[in-house]
Amino acid sequence: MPSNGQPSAEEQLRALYENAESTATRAFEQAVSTPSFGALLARSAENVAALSRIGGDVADLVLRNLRVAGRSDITRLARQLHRTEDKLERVLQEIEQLRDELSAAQATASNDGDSAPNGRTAARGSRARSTGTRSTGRSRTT
Amino acid sequence: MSALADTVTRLARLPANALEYANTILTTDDAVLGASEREAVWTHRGVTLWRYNSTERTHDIPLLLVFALINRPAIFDLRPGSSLVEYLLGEGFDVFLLDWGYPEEEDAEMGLDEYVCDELHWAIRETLRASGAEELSLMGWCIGATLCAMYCGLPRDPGKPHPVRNLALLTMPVEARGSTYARWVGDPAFDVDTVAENWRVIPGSAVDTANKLLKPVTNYWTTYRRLWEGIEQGKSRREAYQPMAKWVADNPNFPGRAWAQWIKMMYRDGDLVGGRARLRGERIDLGRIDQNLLIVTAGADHIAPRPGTMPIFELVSSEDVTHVDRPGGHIGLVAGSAARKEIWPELAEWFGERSGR
Repeated sequence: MPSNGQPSAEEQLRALYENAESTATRAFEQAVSTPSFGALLARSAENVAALSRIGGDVADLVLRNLRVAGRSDITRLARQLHRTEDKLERVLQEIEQLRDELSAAQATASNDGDSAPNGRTAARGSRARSTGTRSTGRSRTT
Repeated sequence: MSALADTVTRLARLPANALEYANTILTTDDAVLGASEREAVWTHRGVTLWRYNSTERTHDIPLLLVFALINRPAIFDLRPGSSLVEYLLGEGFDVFLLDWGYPEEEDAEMGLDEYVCDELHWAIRETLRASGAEELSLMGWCIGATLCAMYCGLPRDPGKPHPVRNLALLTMPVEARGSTYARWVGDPAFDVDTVAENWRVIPGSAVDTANKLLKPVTNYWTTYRRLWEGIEQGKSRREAYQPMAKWVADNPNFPGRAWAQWIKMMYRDGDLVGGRARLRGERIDLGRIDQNLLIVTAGADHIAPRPGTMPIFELVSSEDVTHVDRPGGHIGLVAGSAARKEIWPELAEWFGERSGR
């Protein structure tokens, strides 16, 4: 309880603590931003990564000798699946593009029938207008 | 007497508070993230393109959100009432989200080339196909923003208009050589290629530890102290604390090849800002960015410090450039409690003005 405008013991203790925490925060942030800490961290990361690889290799060796698929075998299979999926994705995109082009060609042919004998010109004009609208839209917003 | 009574009351509440504190921390992983319904539009490997359900789409072009590789994109849609996606849906946007997934060892060869030239490019293509639009708005955050900038900085197909009309880059690292990260990994003696090869994918926990070490006292002590104080003062912070704590701790692995490229490009050689960065042999020239451009920077950003985000203004060729600068942190700026009132309306207004036909 403050008396005569003086902070209570609890308030003083709290202020002392907050000051200490604030100082520690600044000190630690300064410490971790030094090149020496960076070198320590980098070397530790190298060691942990190397240990991880060695441990993984040993585990895989043990499992393989037990005729059990290890992590590396599963990874190899997963990579093969990924490659297949990559190819499938590209084939799908080609099919979609061809389908879009076919639809566009059919629409153009339909327009040609409607507006013959000047249909070709009209279709080209339509594409040009479409492109023009996009360009106009962009320049309008910029 | 009242001080004594106060102390006795606090001591009496101590067991209940301690239990509540422990329970809040122990059940953090049970928190449910996400506020908005969505459906998968496209998947490739572990990557998923989500489209959020909405019946109030009023803008003509869709908005694609892209987050970093080192955290989950759930931060865009954290919880009801605290979700940028929810807000944007309410503002009439057709919102898509690119989710990079959880890379595993089989994804170790995924590089920035694959992320930008394949996954992002294809996600943009699928967004346009699903929405029926010819252009879209692209909003990247953190590394996601850099990937979006790289995409827009690649050479264009001369026969086609660029699919990105509006580009928003939130807290994007551009020149990172002056950052604390650069002091950690910038030393040529640190063999990033060997580390990437040994680890295959950089564990999410390692990335998380590195991020937390930037502010060790704040992350390992102050956060928990504040939680305790909140519980002691009777302010229930569980709903606010748990989703964010769960999101912070959910770090996907960083594919080794992409990580090594990122370190060299951003923290050692400064290739992106220097115009020397290449993806699949194509030079990334940020001068090719001529889209309507929104840059959001945060004054207290320790992940992508503000000075390292500013050079973008000198590099792009956009005529319509808007800069929003606020005093918040890297994540808090857009996902913090004040974001709903302060920055989300600005984002929605900026996109809304530029999303007509």
